[in-house]
Amino acid sequence: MLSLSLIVFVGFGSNISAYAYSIPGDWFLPYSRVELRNGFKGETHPDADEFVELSDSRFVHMQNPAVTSNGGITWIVKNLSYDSTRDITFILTVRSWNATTLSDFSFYPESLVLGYINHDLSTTWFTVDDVHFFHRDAFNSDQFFGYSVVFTVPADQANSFSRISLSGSGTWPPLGVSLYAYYSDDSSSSVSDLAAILAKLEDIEQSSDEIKGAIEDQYSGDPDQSFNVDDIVTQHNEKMGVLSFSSDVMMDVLGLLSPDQNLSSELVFPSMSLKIANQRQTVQLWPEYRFDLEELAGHWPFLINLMRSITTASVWLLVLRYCYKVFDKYFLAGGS
Amino acid sequence: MIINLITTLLQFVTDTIFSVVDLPVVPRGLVNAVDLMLGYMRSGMGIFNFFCPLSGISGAVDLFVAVWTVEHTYRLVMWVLQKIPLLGVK
Repeated sequence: MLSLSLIVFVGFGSNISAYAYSIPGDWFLPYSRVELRNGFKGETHPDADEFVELSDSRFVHMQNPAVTSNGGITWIVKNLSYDSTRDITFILTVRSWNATTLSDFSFYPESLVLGYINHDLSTTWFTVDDVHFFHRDAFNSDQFFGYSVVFTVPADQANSFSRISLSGSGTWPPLGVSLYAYYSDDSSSSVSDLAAILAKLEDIEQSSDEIKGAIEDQYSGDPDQSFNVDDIVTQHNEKMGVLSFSSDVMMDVLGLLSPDQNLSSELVFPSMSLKIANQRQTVQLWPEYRFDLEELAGHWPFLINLMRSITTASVWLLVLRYCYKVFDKYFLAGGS
Repeated sequence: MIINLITTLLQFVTDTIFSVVDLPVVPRGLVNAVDLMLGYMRSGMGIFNFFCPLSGISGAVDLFVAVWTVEHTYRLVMWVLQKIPLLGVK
């Protein structure tokens, strides 16, 4: 499995909502339920709704020169893993939220570009093998159409992160944009199966819309009423104040004797660095070194087990000796 | 088991008595310092656990705590009783 850096530049409106879903089976895009809001410029991480704004210069740097754009979406997906021995088919679908707005929408497949982002931020462009247009009149009472882009990813061009950028210009109605990918050993047969795939996408999008609607209904009220369990626990702990803290510390200390905890036998030798004030440089004399004592048990298991048996027996003997002294003090002649 | 019983009992007592009191928030510096100290102690216990497995001596620790607690409780009770001349305890 390798990582792929991918860019998709599409020329279309700046007023865009984009969704992506993870699909089981051969579908492998690692993000799920990622929503990019209108006019958003930023990046998102797989399996998370966290967005990080990018600088405008970086966004402009990533734009397709063929598209005159002053807005749009930059969508970055990191660690897109794929099987480099198989072809990849990308499907870009675009849907309108109502039938009246679809006629206002323009889509430019010729401006769609796929490419790698290399480690030095240079771009290696791909030649699109094929582009197919789809149109479905009825999709959840909305208009729906899409494009499929088929291309093969060479095995020797793996990168550490992936970018999917959507850019465009003008004022367009709100649109839903979804990008999907799947493995296709035979691109022609894959294209022929796109109708079934799109039908599958309908179910996924419909269920996702239902979930999204339920979430929006739940949080459509006063946002101040939203709560977090962690906040409640934190407030409780803060209310308990010093005494709760002290009891927690005591429990933590006594918990150190619990044999159920996961203790590490790793020795850490910290690094050593010197900071040169005049040159504002830091010189590292030696790096941090870690040594796990369990390696000793791997090399000399008999000796380690013997040592552990001896120490355990010694502790038990000490405790039994203490118990005998107490017993002798109070019940035998030793106490008199 | 005894340690867990003691800690649970202490927590119940402290929570019950002081839950109605609006105590101040623990300073962040103190929390960080204690966390750092607990981290060092945990690392130390990890080393100790390598040489002397806690699973093997947990029974001994429980026995020691139990005997020590009984002995000192007995001595405390006897010390109090010795202060009462009417009982004549020596």
